[in-house]
Amino acid sequence: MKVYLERTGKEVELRATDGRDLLKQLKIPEAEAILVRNNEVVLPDEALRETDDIHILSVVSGG
Amino acid sequence: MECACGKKAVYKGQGGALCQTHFLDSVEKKVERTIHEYGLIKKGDTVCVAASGGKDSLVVLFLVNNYCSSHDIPLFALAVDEGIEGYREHTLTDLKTFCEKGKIALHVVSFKESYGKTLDEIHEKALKQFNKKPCTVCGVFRRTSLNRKAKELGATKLITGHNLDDESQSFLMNVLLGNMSHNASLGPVTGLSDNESFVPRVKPLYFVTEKETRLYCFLKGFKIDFAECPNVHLSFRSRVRDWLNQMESEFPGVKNSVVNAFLSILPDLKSKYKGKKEFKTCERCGDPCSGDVCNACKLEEQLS
Repeated sequence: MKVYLERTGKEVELRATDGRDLLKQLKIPEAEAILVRNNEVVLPDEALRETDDIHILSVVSGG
Repeated sequence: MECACGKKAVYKGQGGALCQTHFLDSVEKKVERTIHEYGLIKKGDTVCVAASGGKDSLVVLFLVNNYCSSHDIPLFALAVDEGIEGYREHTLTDLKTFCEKGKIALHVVSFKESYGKTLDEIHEKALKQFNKKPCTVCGVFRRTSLNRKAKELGATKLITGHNLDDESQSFLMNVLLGNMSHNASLGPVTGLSDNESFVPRVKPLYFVTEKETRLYCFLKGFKIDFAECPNVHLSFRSRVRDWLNQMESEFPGVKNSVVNAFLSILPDLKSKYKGKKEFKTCERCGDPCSGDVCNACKLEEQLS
């Protein structure tokens, strides 16, 4: 699946069973991320598909 | 995962899973409850919302503007342009668009106008000659700029977008640095002094997490460009923030517990430290301060 990371502006290709697995691979704490697929929020325990495009919104911002 | 109403959940917090409608409703109710419970905004106030265009300030501006409109309370937004290239101009553009859409009056005050230099111009000298991190200088100048301008524009309340994450970080930072007296100034209503020169600063997002404000922005379709201050990695706060987020991910609810623990001791801290500090008047600008010259004037002189 394609994963777009808002915080770094990077795009990576990964395989993950669910949102939690994806964040774990990317070493992003769940408290710092919101997962979005087709403009809809995906919770960490939801299954992901190989063909998904996932946007990871960063919760952390500012100074 | 489903909300109790049967719709697909978009958020799972301590209160359970919530669909979009119930999540938005929960944030709005939390903010309204905080305003009422702590008397943050009252009839007769003129409200100034300190806004940057980032997610927290857009959410607080949107919700407080709705509250003030329905209670016939005048409101305006106030932004500080510190002069941080590649960061502030983006958030200010988003803020201007947001205020135009919402018909909210927006005032902008800049470090360049107030202190003659941008933060970028001050940064190197502050760090090399005075060992002051840019965040320290920025914090002092921002607070002073906001207070002066809000007062000049007739505000009786200064609303900030500080959220539960900010508060849990501030409390722990003060504990770790041994500054318990500083914790007495935290809480939904900031400060320990009733000095009339300070516009009271209040925090309607006090019980809302950073994750909730980001999700609120996304679900409401507020346009925000992801922006992180380039100086953030230099701050002690960012270290505490990263640690707390790691803990929150492993042990959901710890940030909430930190803030609730803090609130349980806040009355004792207030009674211990309130009135202990005597205020003088800064001999240069006339603002209240503990010495003869306020921190902002001292910094301005050092960095000129």
